[in-house]
Amino acid sequence: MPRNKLPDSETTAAIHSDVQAPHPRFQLDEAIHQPVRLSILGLLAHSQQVEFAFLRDHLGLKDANLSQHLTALETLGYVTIEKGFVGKRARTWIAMSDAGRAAFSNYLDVLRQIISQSEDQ
Amino acid sequence: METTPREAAQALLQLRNSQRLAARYSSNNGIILLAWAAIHLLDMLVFEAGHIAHSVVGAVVGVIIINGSLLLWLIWYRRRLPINPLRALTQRVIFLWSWYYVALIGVGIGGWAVFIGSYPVGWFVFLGVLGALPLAVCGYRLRQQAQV
Repeated sequence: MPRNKLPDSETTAAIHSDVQAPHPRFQLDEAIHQPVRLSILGLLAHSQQVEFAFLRDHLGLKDANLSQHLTALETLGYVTIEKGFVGKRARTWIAMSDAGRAAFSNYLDVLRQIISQSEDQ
Repeated sequence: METTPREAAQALLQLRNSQRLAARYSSNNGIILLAWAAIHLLDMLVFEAGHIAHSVVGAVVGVIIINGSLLLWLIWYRRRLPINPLRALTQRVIFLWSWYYVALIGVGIGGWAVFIGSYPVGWFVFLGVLGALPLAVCGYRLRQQAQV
């Protein structure tokens, strides 16, 4: 290409789209990024099921507070809540759904992108 | 939403700790494998004692009591674990180990009896150590991985 020749429209569009590509931080799922939900999903990601009481005690939350977070995640389709019995004891089990696993995996990818972009700069 | 690379790295670190925590409170924490290894060794010690005392019945009764206790403990222990792991590593190790155990006992006891005859003193303990070793190593490694 001659030195003073202006780039054609295709090249301009490519440069422009590159400049305008949103930073990965904008792709972070806010529902997951909230600290308590991140802790909940972090545990659920490596589990088939986690007991409600364990989550409550481990995260230092009240029943109502944990229920709120779980309901929010359930509404998004990220977790499922199942009540059952082990012997005579009532237990509530929380599990991550397939949609939750996909969203969580995407969230991890975005975190890694944020780190790798900073390393590239 | 603003997230700095440092915050992203911290979030990933937190999630790695969550993975360890999930292992620690599930059957993948290595305790079951360590208990299984200890019980296997104990079984073989009982067989060794039975061999020395020429009491096969006593040895068999002892092994039934020991293994029955392990089974009851396993049921109790699994019930009180608050996390069901995604990948049942313990079961996988026990499944693979059972093939090794069958081969070990087949050769070490059956094969030895057919081709050589009487067992030397300490033979059952030796088989016990060989049998328990893979379980103990896997259990120890899982235990290490589950430490937060």
